[in-house]
Amino acid sequence: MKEDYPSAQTLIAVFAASFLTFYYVPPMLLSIRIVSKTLTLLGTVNAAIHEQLLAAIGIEAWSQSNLLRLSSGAIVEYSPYCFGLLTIGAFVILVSFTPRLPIGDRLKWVFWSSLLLLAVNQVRIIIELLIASAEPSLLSTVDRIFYPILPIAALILWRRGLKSREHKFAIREVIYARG
Amino acid sequence: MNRTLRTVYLKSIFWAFFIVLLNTQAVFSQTTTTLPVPPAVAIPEGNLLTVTAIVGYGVYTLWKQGRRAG
Repeated sequence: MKEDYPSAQTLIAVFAASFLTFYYVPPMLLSIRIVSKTLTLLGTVNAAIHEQLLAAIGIEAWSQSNLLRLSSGAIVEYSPYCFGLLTIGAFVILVSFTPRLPIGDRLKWVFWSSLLLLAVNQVRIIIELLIASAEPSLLSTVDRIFYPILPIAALILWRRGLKSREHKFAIREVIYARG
Repeated sequence: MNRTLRTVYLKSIFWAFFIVLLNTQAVFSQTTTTLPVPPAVAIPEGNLLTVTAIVGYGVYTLWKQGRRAG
């Protein structure tokens, strides 16, 4: 094993623990009234923003709580199981097990990547809404095709970060070895 | 089992899983003409599989990189 890398046992434990976390923690949190209310409110705000955005480009939509009804007849539900937040959770797990990285760098990496992931998620939702406003029956198919964009973006961000940091450390090691 | 063969197996398992994932309904949106049902008790399976897949891929990458002699 390379130095500082987590062992195989640790990695298996991380995988098992994250699976259990994703399975048990969100329903547990959502059973707390204030958490589920906050997440529904987040969906409500999102629906209202998208309503305004669609109105700006001439598409009629009506938001009601965390539901958005499009003039084409499609109804979009902004679930309290926030997929964007869950993906960021998975990203945070991977960043925290990346070897040889100061805490400040980890926080910066998580912060900027989370912003980017949330932006990617918004773009994905808007594209889905535009397609659904033209053809409502396509909504579930389009969603099924588009939602892996977010995890793929998360993986790309993590892999790129890992590679660039490995490279940085390799250069530093060469400099130290010479000096 | 040699290393190349194992990589091929792992890659095919990954792609098979990915195809299953693509065919799993996400929870974000749904077309319905009736009132929406209240939230499910457990996390929707599409989301669970997807976030587990991210962590699984990352864990595999870390394991592979950590094994390299260095």
